[in-house]
Amino acid sequence: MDTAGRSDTRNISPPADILNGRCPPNPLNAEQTQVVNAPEIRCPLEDAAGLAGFQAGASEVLAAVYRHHLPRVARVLRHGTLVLRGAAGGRRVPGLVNLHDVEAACHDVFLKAFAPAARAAFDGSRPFGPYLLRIARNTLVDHYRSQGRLSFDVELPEAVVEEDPMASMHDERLKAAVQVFVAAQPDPDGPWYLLRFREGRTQEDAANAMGLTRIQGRRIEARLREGLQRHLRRSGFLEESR
Amino acid sequence: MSAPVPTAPCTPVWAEHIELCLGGEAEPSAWTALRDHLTACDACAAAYDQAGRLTALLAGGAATDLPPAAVADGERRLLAALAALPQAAPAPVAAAAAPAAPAAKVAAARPAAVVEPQVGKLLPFRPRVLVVGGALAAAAGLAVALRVPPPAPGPAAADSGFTARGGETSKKSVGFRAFCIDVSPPSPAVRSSAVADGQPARCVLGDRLQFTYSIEDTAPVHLSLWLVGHGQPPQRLWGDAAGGAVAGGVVDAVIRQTWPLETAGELTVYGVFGDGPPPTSLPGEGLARASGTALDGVGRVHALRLVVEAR
Repeated sequence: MDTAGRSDTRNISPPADILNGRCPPNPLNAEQTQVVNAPEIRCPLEDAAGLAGFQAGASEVLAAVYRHHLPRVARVLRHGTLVLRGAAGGRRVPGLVNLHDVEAACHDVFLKAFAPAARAAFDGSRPFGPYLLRIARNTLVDHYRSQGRLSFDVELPEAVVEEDPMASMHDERLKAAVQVFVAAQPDPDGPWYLLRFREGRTQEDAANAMGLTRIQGRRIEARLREGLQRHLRRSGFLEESR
Repeated sequence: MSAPVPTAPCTPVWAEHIELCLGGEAEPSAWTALRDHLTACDACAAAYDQAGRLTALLAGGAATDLPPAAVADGERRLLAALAALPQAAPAPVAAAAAPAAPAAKVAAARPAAVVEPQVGKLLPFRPRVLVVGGALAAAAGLAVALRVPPPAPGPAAADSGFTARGGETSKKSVGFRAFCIDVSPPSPAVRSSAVADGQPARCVLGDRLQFTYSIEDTAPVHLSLWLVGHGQPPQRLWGDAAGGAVAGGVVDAVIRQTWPLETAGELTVYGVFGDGPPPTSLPGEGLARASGTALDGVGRVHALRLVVEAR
């Protein structure tokens, strides 16, 4: 939405909340801080128009595909992945440690997948997600090979990328813990949270809306993060969330 | 696996810089400076990691998600990097085979499947019957006859029976896109596209026009598309006055019908997203005035422009 509260219809890039399968709640409505289950949003490449736009390099389609698949790619890069090697069993490729390493690797993955030749070769006959995850796995393998920390005596198989089935359960529990924390935030932290993290406003917009300075807003945000960290530590999530 | 323990704390200057970037207000150059620094500084990398993960969690994401500001910057960097690459020729639409198993639930459109009886001049502004078969219908040997109604005699341009109003505060996002499809042999391909309220699509005579729409809210919406140009009153391209509600909660849902473009010039397509069925006619000026906002008693209106050029 723009600052006047009107709907933003420039659908160059569908709203992140849509792509993430969430419905944003109304601002400042504490009763709606729970994550709402929205229908699963499909990949933009699953219809002909999206596929054609992708092949043509339409930036709005590329952006939509990027935002649609980014969470799963980031998850694989962060958690690592299991490479199966036939009857011999599997081998786990560890995930990347630092957030900025994950971001850099995500950039590499999508740059490879969105390169003109790769786009032209993708005909939509197979889903795009597993293809991206194979690139993510290979990016991880290349990363560790370049450091001399990973070796295979044979070439990797055509790809079996497994996501940790426990990870999604953990994520749900973690999200629930976060919701407990944010629901208990008093003024002005609660309204700031809604404006910044549910509406997606910038710090400046949120500060203007609440009649605060940006510095005050940043202090609130730092307080929210510190409070969340303490809450997660008490809830037993510290190891995962640090 | 745990991160290396920094031997020195992140300096206040860089801590502030991290805050600026995660706050969603940093210029691209600020992000570049931060990323360069994070590569060389374990302390700041750890601080960014912690702040970024907590920010992603506060934003409703998973522990592995990237913080929203980093996603936006990543998207910008990716598109910039792609723009710098040599471009390959776009692949034809016909390469869009039936979706694989996970996508089979989506009724994909294949513009090549359109069959057009040659009766007189084609759109715009001519009532006619289009025989349209999407990929699924074509596969089943089916065709669906759709009638595009003639333009109803609309009120004069100065008619003020419809007034624009703004300031909607609770409506969720809606939008639509158009694709000009070059149907010349050997196979159809998208020539250009346009988004509502954005830059015009540049089409060529003989192209076919196809649309997708996005509706954030999950409630059904009455969507109608109206074509305006050449001084003619709005002609309803799509949407049934008696019904026509489409499901919400969709992104780029494909309207399977396509329309041939056989008149050069500038055209505007208005998408009317209403709570009830649209009227049988609308004033062009009212639509233009309401574009980007709402038309009383009709719905939210968004405009999409096309420039149709001669071959």
